[in-house]
Amino acid sequence: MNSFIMNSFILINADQFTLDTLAEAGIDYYNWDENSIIVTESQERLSQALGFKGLNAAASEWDGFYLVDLNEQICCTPTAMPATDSMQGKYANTQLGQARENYIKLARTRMDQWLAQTLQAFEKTNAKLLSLAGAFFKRAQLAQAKTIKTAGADGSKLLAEQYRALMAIDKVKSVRFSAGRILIFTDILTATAPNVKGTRELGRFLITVDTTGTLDAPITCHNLTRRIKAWRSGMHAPQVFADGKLCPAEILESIFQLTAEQDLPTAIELLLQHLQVCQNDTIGEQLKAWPLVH
Amino acid sequence: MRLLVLIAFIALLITIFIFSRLVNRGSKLWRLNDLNDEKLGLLSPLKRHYQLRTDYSGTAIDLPRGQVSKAMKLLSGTIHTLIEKRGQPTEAIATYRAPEADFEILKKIPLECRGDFPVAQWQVKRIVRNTILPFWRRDIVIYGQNGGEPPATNDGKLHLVLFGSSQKERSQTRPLNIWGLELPRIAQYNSNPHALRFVDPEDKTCGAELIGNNLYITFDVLQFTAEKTERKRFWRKVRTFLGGRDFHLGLLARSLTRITEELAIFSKLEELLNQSKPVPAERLHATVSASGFDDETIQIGRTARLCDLTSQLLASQLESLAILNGKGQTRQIRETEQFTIYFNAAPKGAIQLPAPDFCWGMPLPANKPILHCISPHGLPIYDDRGIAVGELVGQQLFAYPEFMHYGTAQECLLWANFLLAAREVMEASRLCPDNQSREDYLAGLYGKSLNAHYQHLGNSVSGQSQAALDKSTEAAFGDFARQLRQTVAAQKEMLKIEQAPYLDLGAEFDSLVSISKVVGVRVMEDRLIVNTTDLFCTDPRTKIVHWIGPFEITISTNKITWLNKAEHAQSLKMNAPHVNSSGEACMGNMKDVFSTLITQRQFAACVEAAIAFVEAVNVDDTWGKNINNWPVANSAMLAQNQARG
Repeated sequence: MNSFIMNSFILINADQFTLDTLAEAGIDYYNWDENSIIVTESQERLSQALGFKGLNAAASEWDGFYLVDLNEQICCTPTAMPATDSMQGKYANTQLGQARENYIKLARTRMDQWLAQTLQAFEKTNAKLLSLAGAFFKRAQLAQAKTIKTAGADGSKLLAEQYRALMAIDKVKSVRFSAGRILIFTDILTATAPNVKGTRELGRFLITVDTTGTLDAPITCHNLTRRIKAWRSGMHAPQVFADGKLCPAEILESIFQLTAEQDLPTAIELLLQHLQVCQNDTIGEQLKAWPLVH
Repeated sequence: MRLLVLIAFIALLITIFIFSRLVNRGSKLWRLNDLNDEKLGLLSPLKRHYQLRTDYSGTAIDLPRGQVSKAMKLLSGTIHTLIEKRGQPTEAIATYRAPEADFEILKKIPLECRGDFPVAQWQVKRIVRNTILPFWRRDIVIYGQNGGEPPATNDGKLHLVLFGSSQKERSQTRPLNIWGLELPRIAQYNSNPHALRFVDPEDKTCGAELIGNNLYITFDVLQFTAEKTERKRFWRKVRTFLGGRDFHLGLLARSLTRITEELAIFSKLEELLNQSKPVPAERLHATVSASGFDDETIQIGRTARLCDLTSQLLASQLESLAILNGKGQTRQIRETEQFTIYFNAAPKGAIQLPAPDFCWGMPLPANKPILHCISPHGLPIYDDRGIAVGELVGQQLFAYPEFMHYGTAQECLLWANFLLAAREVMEASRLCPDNQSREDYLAGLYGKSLNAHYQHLGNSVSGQSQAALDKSTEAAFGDFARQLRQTVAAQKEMLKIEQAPYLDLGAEFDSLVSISKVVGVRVMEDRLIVNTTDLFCTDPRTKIVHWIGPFEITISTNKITWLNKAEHAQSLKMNAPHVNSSGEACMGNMKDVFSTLITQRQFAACVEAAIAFVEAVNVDDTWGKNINNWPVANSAMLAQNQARG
């Protein structure tokens, strides 16, 4: 498929954020089904507009139509943009000016390579972390299953108490269990950060806790109100990636330990606190992209 | 003479029989389908020979050809045909006799054949006796070609029509597959939408229908008109009469086995309905309306069955109710007077979860993606494994999956199970008028469903002690915590680079060339190379200024090197007092400074520090004390250096 030729793409798992991004980029779309839209655009422009590193598209059963699962795309990292260059004129048409131009060109390439290397290193270590988190959570869930099984009829009572404790947490609106997942729906969450002015509105969240130890991530957070392009595309919160996985942070150690100790309510309380109080760091600074609470 | 002819004829028949068995011996491995726990128990002497295969369509075994006759003996079974599939075990389609005590009773139930049959009647009777009779346990009349019409009224007998339909209308299309078997070119009747239809869920072919006590097989199962000549018809009959195998006998066996399975599910459904609270007769069929179901042949039977079951199970609790087909979409929650069931729908705001394959131990109709959601609004309805399959929001009942598509027995049983679970929730909802009691009910439901899940999960670790599990959890936690620290550091590193002030590369160049001792700046691959003027270093012991030389300083992603361009450096085998011949420095405390400056892309500061590093010496150091070996700078050099500032 030539990336510059207009093709029709069926974008699967298109959420409100995607629709807004396409509208901002002036790309028309039509509804295909409940979760998908259809877009006729060049692959190049579409991936640029959505902030993806290329577009991972599969041929569909119809000619000229390609399926793109938005959950499986890789987001771009920020790339070096040409800066406003006030000194350019000073060196114009001189040997130094030529050297300067070369320097800028080569330095940018070198910068991107460096960035790519660091990103690759992070992704590698993060993938290992996720696999170890999965292994730990699976064991923790099996240990919990054993405890509940030993408790016999009291197991239901213990878990009903867990429900009440979860519901007692501020901002927790409802708690459900289905298909091996504990689903915690929250009210609208707000957040603050030391370097960001005012209180920002994050939105309503769904926190999913895996009780089988088989999912990609043991705990995920999905913003049901909005998603923002912050330091990565489509983020649910400054500390939550587009796929709902939490950015690595020291606090995860405590959250996971509490979950393993079968104290899910305290773990969730800590998680909500983590989402609502951003740190004085680069991630915390990203909160400025969320709307101010008036 | 006559005796000799008779003997020759019998010998010929025996030869044909033996030959027919020998030519179709199949592959080395044979597969026996449609086995249950009871039959597997009978096969226990052969346990080490066979391999068990279980999927949603049932249990099967693969065993070596040499063991098949033993297996058949143990099961009292008969193989009706063999199906060859390339690269797969030969599939033996067989039926099995009922257990001895039961068989004696069944033997006394009369089976009557009417009309012509292209195969031996005793073979047909044997298949019927092995399949449908143990379930039906009443007289059965089997209709062949020109066997007449079954009676319209119920006479207590089962009338099995081997090729026909209550519609009497031939179908324009021909079925290609049914119940896992590839069909030759055979004719089919249109099925009656008001009948109880037996549909193959995989191929979506309706293979039979039941109206009252009349069971019609709607396709030409025995291929009555296959043999065009009398002679061929005669030999087919003779072959089957002598016990020979025939594909169509296998097809009949498979069809009747599947039909019996469906009928057994219907009887389970009846039991389920009998256990539920009876509904007054006058309220049946009067209160349920359905809309949104397309008026196609396949839908009529489904809608009728959907309404019928809903009325039987919910009408006792409600004045009137409507079923709306949501067709997999989400629906706005509304305050309604009438109780409404949203079939295959979820309330707005629901989140999607992967669809389960099974509900109440039965596969869901998999003809299209199933909407499987849960919302925070309602009271969830769970299946037996703790999977939410619907929810009750006020007067609206949502059934997430499409429980019924063809109206088959299994789908009816699924729908009945859903309605019974929903009924419990509806009753609980009436008993919970206020928020507190609702929350108590939800807590109980959460506890019950999560407990069921943990009980199931706990089975996999029943052999392990709690202490062992806790210990392995602790070990896994240690691994996770260590990796988390590494990942957090890697993330910080990445963010530092991403957020570094690198965008103004022109300004970066300007600040580099503005350093007084820098004469050139360039970038090569992943290295920044800076050329300097002559650098000097004063020996603090003697106050003598030594000439070190002009340098090429190379900064790469993680290190910095110094290359002295002066000739004397080669003879000294050092690039600078603290820099060895490879250009690497003994930096001491400066190592962290350079590393930080490189990470932060503070290249100007880094180059200034690199120049200062060459121009300073620690004479207490092993390398540094040899500064006196470097040439002494002459006055012209020093004047030039001073002029440069």
